[in-house]
Amino acid sequence: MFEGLFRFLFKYRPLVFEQGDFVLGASRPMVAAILVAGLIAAYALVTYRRVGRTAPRDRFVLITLRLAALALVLFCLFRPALILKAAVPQQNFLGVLVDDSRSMQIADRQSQPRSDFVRGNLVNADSPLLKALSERFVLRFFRFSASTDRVPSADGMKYAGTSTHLGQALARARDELSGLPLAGLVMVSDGDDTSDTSLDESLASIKARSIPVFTVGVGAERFARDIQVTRVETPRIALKGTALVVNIVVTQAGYAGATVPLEVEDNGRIVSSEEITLPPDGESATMRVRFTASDAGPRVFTFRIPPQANEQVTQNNTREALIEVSDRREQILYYEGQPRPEATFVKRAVEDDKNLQVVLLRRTAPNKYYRENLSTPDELVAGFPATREELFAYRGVILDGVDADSFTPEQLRMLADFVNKRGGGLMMLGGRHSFAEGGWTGTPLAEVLPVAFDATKSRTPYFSTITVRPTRAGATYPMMQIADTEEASAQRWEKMPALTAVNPIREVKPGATILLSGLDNQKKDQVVLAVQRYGRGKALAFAIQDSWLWRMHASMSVNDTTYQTFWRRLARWLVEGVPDHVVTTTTEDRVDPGEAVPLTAQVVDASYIEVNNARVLAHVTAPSGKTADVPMDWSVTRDGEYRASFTPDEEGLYSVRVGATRDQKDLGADVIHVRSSAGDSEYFDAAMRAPLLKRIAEETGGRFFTPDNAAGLPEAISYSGRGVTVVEEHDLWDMPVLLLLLIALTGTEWAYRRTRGLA
Amino acid sequence: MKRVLLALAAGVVFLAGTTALAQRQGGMRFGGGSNAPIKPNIPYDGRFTFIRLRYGPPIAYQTQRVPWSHDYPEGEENMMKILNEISDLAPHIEQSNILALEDPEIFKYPVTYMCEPGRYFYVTDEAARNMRAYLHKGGFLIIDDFRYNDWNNFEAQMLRILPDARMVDLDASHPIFHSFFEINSLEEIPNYYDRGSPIFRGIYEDNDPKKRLMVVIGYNTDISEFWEFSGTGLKPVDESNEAFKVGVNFFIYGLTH
Repeated sequence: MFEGLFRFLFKYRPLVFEQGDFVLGASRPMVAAILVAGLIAAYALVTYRRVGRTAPRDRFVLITLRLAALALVLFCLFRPALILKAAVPQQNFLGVLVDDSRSMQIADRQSQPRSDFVRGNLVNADSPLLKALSERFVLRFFRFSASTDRVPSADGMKYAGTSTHLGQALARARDELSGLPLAGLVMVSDGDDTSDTSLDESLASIKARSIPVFTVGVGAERFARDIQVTRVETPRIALKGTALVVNIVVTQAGYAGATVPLEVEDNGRIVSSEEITLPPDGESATMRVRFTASDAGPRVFTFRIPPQANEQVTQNNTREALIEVSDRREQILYYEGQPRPEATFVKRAVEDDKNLQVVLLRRTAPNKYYRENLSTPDELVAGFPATREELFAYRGVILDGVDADSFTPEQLRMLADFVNKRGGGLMMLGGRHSFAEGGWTGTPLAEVLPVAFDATKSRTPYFSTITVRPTRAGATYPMMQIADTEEASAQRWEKMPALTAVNPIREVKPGATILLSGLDNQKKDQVVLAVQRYGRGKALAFAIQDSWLWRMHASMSVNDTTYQTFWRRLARWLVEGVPDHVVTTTTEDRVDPGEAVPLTAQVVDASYIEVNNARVLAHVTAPSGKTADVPMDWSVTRDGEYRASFTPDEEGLYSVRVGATRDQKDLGADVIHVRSSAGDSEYFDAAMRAPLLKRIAEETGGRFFTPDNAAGLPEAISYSGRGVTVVEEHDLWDMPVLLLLLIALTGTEWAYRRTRGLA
Repeated sequence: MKRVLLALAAGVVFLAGTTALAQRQGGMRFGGGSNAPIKPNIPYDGRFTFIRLRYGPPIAYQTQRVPWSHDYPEGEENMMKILNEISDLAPHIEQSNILALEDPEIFKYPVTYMCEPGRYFYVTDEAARNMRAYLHKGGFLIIDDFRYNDWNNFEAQMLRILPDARMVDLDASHPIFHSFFEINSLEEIPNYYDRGSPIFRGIYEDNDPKKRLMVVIGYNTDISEFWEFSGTGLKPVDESNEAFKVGVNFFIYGLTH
């Protein structure tokens, strides 16, 4: 509409004005004649001014109108024109890149698939656009998704690509058409680039070669009705039986405030279903779902919101995550410095947990220990471990009422390294022999612990009852969930009996998180439970001396399992994600068949010192049982880091066992799994990304089009000035708008005179 | 360790004995016993506190006429002194608490002691409920000092607390006799009343010997009598020594199991 009106008034499309250079085409004699005529006209005006009968205002209006009309005529007499470089027909090549990915099937163009634009305008030989392009240029078609291929025409697209790499497509077309007179590239896409790499490099290269890219964005920039499971945050590894609380980010449009089910499936079996209320349109909301990883092995968990009525894209209602559910028994060393009830109650709380082994070392008298839950009869026979190998065999350490003086300086360093280098979980419980009161100030462990207690040691013994409540962070922390739902958990916390503390802990370290706190007898805030990551591991301070009261207290029912739940989660958190001697990671837990899987392995010895001279081998087992050994090489850039990659050629679950040896001695092994299957990333954030397509066009000197104005594409390419061109001059003096303006000026003067009685 | 204990016990015997004798020689003794005034309870502070359970009404002074108060306060004080000296327990020594079976405060003390629950032992419904919850939640009860036919009433009252309980004999192989000191034969333990070995019985959680021992019952002996008289010279040091060993093991076991 606007463009049609513009063209009627100004004779040409706006594009011509944008691309053309303005010139005046009048010859010198003509200019001289025009100037003389102008001077005569000016003189006439001066004489006109002497007419005294006219009011000054009328005179001013009439002079202005007359001068404007005169200027308009003079402008036309100067022969204004636009100079453009136009591509010579059939002398230039044009690369047409068509997005062949799945997202082009999304029906958001008046309920028609995005790909219909291609079929209607670039496949159909009778389409005006294809005709216009073919008349002006020699067309070269490309299809692109994860890869880019030359194709004879835009026909035959399957729109089945599982990812879109725009930068790679541009680079491929650039290379393919290099050396040819190129008018530009046309990219028809929804702009849903799913590649990990930045477009900058490709764009810089295209720009350097002065290749304009004309992008045609197909699809709606915003869906009218859609629900999307945008992100799911799951741990990579979980211990069997762990109650997981997973954050799920949900985005929607058109269903604000609706209540929908959110289901979690474990390899096809529903393990959780919760009703959630959707956020306002266009906003994201984080939902928390709970489920238990009850079966061991590589488990594919599916997070799904069932498709709703009239939803435009239903494929983005589901996300999958692969979690390695481990069934091993994690060892925690619980060192009790004096006989206290806590260790006994903790032992009972976790004894039925088949995946936890709390090894108790209880000092009943100086150099006299009571040991329980041992793996071997000799375990800890001499007391607390004296070597790193012995200590680092555990994945968690709990210190309960042990003075710092009970350890040698080397043991103190070992404890700090247990967290920092070994990556273990360490917890210190409150008591008369803990924190500042236990002489821990200034020790290596004081640095590791999440609480600050340097200045808190008081001369008078501190004792206070504490009503413990979760902090804002703690209320949503998985470890702090002591009932089935967040609301039930909050209510349960309200009813938990008060505990007591003998360590005044008021502050935590920067970066630490307080999960539980409470007011003490002095009405001061007491830090009850705080956590922080330190080095490769994590540390926890539980500054309470009698959490066992949550089991024994008179107000607690005999059948109440809150204490058990709390301590099991605490103990599991302590050993969660604690690394082994070999830790293998990959960037994605799913790849497309044919896509390389990058593997990175971190290798340490028994003392958790990085090993650079190990022999590391990845033993890859395909779904069919076919195996392959892939040697991994030291990365050189980081100690103990080895890298390799393999490319799956089958669909299904690949198992990768990475083993490390040094001098024929086994250092350890790790097993991870990777899924090889068609991805669904095309359906996420699948609205047409106009900003990205505009950026590509603007940075390369091209233009961005939509299906609505794509008819102007041939002309825009023609006048882009690239390739083999000729200079065209477009006169402007005969633009209808000038005539209309002249008529308007003279008409207005006439009407004014009539109104004022001057004519 | 045995030598150390002997030396410590002898020291405690000497120190405590002088005080005990002085008390015994002064004043009138109503119904026997120390007639010591019952000290007020100390509030819970997290430290280990000797808890003597009371059945029946409170009293102002210890008396032999009230069986649950037997051996108070020397029995517990001497026992706590020994525990303090030889272990890292760091208990309250001079202060101990007396709590009724019905008292909800007992839940703050996972190890409790009850003396002479013989013919006068009576458990109210409220006490039965309280003690049942205490034991099921994880409490440990040490029972001492009764014999002969008193067992019948004791058993009847215990069954009010734990209706399904089976009270089984414990032999020297049980971990409770090895939790701190190695007591390899029950013959080593003095029998206060009669000749022969004392009898120790226990009640397990769910009556399953593989599970937790909830109650240890010292039948036909009076271990705490040795604790009490260890300071008087009326009992041989060797016997007091063995009685302390049993006490230490019971308390350490109660705290660690």
